[in-house]
Amino acid sequence: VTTVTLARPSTLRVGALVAGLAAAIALRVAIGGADARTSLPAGLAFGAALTALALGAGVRPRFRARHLVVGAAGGVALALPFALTHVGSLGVHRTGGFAGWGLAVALVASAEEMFFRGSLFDAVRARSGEAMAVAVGAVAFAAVHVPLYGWGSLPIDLAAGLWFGALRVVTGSWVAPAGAHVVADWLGFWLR
Amino acid sequence: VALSRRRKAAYLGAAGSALALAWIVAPAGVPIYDGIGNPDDPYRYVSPPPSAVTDKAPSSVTGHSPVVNGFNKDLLFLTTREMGPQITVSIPQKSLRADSATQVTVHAEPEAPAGQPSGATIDGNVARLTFAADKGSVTTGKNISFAYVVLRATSGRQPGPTMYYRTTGSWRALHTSRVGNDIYQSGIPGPGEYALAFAADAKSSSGSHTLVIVLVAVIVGVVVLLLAVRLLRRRA
Repeated sequence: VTTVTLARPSTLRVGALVAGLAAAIALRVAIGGADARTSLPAGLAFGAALTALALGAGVRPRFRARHLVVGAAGGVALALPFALTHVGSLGVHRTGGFAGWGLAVALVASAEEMFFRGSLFDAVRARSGEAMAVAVGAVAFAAVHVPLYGWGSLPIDLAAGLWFGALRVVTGSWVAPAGAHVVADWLGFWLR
Repeated sequence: VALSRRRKAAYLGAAGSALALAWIVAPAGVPIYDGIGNPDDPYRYVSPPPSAVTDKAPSSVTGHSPVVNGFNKDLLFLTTREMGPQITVSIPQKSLRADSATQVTVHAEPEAPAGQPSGATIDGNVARLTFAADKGSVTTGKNISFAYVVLRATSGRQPGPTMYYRTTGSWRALHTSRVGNDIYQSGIPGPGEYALAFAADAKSSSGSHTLVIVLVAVIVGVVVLLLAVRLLRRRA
């Protein structure tokens, strides 16, 4: 008698998504070359690849006002520590260039959340539970941002990943962390 | 399965605590978590080289704080007006001592480099940082160890530059942290000149090596987590 042990479907899904994430990063490097970290086309291609992966994994955009409101509040909370430690010195240091950048960042940030807190979250949760889904999403999220912001950004991005994961758990939707991500990025445009 | 309110609150509390801890142990200069860098203006030089994209002059910045009990009362967080700022200075409360003064002033002025560090080439402008008081002299207090200066490099090329400092005479290297794509942070030993400089033999890299390392780290991290969970379940 031969016993064959097959990998559980959720394990395969997680593996496929991680492989897809690797391919998306490779695509970004291929398009952006030396400027992969800051290239807009490379960033948009990365976002498109993540969106395709998430859609392929069955994640669907379902927007509810409640999720967006919770997400916006979560984004403000992310920017709050910086604002509180710089009270009195905050101001609009920049005015031009927001519209195009803001739209691109909204697309990429939403794509990242659709992937990390959507498809990857669902796959890991099915395999290892909710807490592990939050943790894996946060680790992966922090790791892919190191090339852009350096190792110094790892603690804050890891914590931000946990925060986004918590918003996903609380609302049951990836739309809330997407809203938080976009709002935090937009606020960062002026808070720098 | 719907989660209880207590469990949802626990998730938010844990994540919020992680955020607070991260801000305390590794405060980020920019709370940005996206995948695209800000649309920075071209670097502004005091003395533009032929390769400069713009001849717009860089800005300086000045901040004031009242003096209470001999120390600066306010946090002084100063940024120059470029997009993004080429000089950022953060001076916490009680970092500057001026016993007989009622106000202290911090000023950051970009200057053209005059004299290079040994074995390195200054990238962009030098930032001259000065402390002054309306009466008497200014010395530094113990909180100056929490002060920092952030300079923007002319590009994000890696390996990155090191921050150098001098009052008079020769430059000395400071511990330098990369806090953004092209911005670097160091502590503030005192007033004087600060500059970013690349090692003379440094070669530019594409950064793809870092991406590969991170990619491998992501895959290894996920595999280790999955194996750990599997092991724990078997034991259970």
